[in-house]
Amino acid sequence: MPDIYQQQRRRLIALNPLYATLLPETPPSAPPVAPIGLAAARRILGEAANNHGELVIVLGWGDGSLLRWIAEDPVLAQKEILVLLLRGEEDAFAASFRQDQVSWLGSGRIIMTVVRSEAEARQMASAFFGQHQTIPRLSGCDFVDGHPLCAAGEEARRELTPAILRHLSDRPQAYGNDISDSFTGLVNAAKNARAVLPAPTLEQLHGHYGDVPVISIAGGPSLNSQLPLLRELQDRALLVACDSVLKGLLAGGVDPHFVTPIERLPSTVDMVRGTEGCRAVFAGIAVVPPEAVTPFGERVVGVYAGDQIYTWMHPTVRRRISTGSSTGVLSFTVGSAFTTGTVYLVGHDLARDGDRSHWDGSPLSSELWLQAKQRSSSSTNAIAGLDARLVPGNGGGLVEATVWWDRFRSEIAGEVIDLKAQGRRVVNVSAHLRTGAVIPGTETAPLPDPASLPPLVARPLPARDPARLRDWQERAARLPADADAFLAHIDGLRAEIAAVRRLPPDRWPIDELSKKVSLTSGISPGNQAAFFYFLRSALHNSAAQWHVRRHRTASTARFRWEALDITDSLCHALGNAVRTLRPALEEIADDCRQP
Amino acid sequence: MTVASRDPAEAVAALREALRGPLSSGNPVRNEGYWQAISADVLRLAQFGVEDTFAQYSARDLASSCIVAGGTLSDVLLRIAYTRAVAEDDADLLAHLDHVPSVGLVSAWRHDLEGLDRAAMAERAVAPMPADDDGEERTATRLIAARRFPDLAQPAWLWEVPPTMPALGHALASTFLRVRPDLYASVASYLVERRATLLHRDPDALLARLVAVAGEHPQTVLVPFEGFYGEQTQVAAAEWHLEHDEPAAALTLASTLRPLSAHAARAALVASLAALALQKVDDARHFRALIDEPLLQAIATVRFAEAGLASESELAAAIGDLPVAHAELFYRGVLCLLNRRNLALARSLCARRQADFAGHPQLGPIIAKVLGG
Repeated sequence: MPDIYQQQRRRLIALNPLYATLLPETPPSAPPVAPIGLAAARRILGEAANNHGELVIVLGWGDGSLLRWIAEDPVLAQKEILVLLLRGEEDAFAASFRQDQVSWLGSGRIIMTVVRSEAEARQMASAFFGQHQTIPRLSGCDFVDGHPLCAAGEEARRELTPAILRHLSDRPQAYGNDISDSFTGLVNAAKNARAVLPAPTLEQLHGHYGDVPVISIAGGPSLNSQLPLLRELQDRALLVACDSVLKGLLAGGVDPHFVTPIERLPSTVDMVRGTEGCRAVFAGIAVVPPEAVTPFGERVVGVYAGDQIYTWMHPTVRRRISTGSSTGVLSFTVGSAFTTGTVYLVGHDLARDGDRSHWDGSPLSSELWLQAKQRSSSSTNAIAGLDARLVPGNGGGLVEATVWWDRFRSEIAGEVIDLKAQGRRVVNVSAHLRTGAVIPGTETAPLPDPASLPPLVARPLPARDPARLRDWQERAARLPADADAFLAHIDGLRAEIAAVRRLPPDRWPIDELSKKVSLTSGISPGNQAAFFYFLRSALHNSAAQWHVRRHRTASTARFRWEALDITDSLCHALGNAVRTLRPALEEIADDCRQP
Repeated sequence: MTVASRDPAEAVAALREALRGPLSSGNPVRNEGYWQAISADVLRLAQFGVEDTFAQYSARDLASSCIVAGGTLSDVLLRIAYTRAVAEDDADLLAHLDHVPSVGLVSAWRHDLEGLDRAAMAERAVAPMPADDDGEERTATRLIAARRFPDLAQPAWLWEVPPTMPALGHALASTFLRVRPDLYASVASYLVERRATLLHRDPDALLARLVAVAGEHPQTVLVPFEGFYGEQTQVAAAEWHLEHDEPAAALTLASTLRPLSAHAARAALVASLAALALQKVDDARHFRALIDEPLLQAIATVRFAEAGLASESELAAAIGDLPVAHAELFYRGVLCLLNRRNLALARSLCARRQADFAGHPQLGPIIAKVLGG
């Protein structure tokens, strides 16, 4: 009699060696889990089985029988099923393979991941919903959490569900910008090209400063107390400051080595205006207003991140960093790239200190924050990012942060994991001061004693290379012609959709048509990344709306009608966007032809 | 200025005059700032001048979104929600919205229509609208007319719904099927021609109703709707076969529905009764066990009891809590018990439900007789 457990174990480990940790050589005894009959299955899966939402997230494995109901239902079997195996379910999971699971598991689109802690919940959210393309489906997903688990699993589900839902609901904040905002970034990057593209890259500067300690400076209230020490350390450690603290630092006698502007807002210019005399090198991103780059002259480092805008600027760049969502996070990720030494976080409080949001040296930031918070509090349509959220505090207990600050905290924590894996140390000085929010994975220690560090050795930046600029200019000169080719494709697609509408819904080639809605059709290879960058928000906004409407649709005919309608609306939006923005593309192209 | 002090017709005329101004736009939502400068009365016509762009949202969605939107935009949305609530005949939502000040004029308009006698309603339903009317107010008026006085409904009303207002077209078609099933052929033609109307809402529910009221074989009715209908229509077709003494066809259609379908319980009922009609008792029991909705289970149990296949205790449990609207089913159950000479159980049930059914013209006296001996 073949041993079903061993057969399935071998097969799964061959697919993914990680299964060896979940499936011991000898199957454990199965902890009791209540069976799921038809009535229970209808109650648990009824909503997910009667809409056209794309994704179902199942909280808990149970005994695996729920997934059999899912695999055997024609509607559910077409959906993406993300199963979260919770802490305490390990034995139930392994024991379930005493019976056949693999033959029907493999027939569907079922993915499983382990979530044993909040940290793993955060990793799951980032891993599965980390990109612009993968976030929209959260808008219309179903959560299944009514099925029985073993006792330990039920307890874990009660404990972990709020964290799981919170991290998933934070994901849409990673969408970033709409078409207008993205295009503003593209125009700014084009205007900054002459300054940024010839500049040395992070790839050239990686480890440029040896094992010198680097201090990432953000604008939290605790920065006030660290200013004297920073004055003494500024020629013994590498100082990388977020833009909002630059003026305050200079006024306090601290001249950082690098500054990291990130926002394309006009206020970014205010942060650096009047700082021409400082030594700081611009190490922000190219999408900021050009007036935020010009004060630095040729004191510029080329920072390239994961977005397509950077691929457009420098197609062959190999070393990219995560910018995070704030100038403070950027100061950390950029600073970490310059040395192999310890990274110190100063002013990354990411929580209020009484009624203070920022240190005394960032009056503009404090004022902007207060204005935004007041607008948020008085409006019935709250600005979600400023909603208060209680998070663990360095002084114990909980402290008041905001949704955005909590997100920055998660971003830094994610980077800390990677740095520690490389043997690096990351110290959170706010933790030593017992103020601000806990940043997981960081050490608690003060800034180093200046007397323990040798003076910095001057290391000039590598020479600028104009070849990258010329390459980009040749490509960007084709932007208007590319826009025309794109519009021809979109107009043709809309005509095709109009013709298709005359057929019955079940004969509409929905998949074929949706695949033709590309953000890069007809565009020359050198500019595809640019069009993808500024048009993607239309795609993702449309996709999010689509997923909501899918979730609300039970009828297959109406689902197909919605698909066609959304596709047509998206083509309309994309066409409008490119037509409206074509004059700006002409200006970029004209500028590229200038010497 | 309160609603009571302003004649709706005067307010409408004043708004139309204001709309002819230079800042006028066909879409009041785009001109939120403009509407803020105009009195609340004027906004009423803005609602009726709005293209049916909010059709993808239910009336409840729109009403809920107003809580978030705030300001004049919420007023516009509330008015749209009100019209949609009229279209969807959501009495509960209308009762709540009637208390909201910003929909005062629209509410007055509705109550005016609800209070008209037949002659006045007939006149209002066919009265010519102003040249710049886009059909939404007229369609909403005719919806109320058709519900209140079904004999006034005319197929031509369907064709006079602007194609740009599929939600209202759907509501009118649905209302016609409900109150004037004899007009099903006209409704079917309309839905075939205006497929956007059918698809703008869940077509399955409407097609299921069309199959139910049509006098023709479901396949004939559904041929023009190839690719439109779904599981609810499939169950409706099965029910049609059962009602027309074609249990084999009913069983085939009903038994193939997937177990997790929202309509699975109803399909199981049809399959159970069809199998019973075919004397396939084991199959009938199997399908009856799959019915997990109390009312549908009660229907099956009464039928099983009438066939001698359900115990008296099962029967009593099934009909004991029947809603008042299902008096006939309760009666059949009691009759079954009486036929089985179980007077005690019949009396017990009747005593428990006497207050609920006392006013029923047929069942009341029967219950009184059972209790009186």
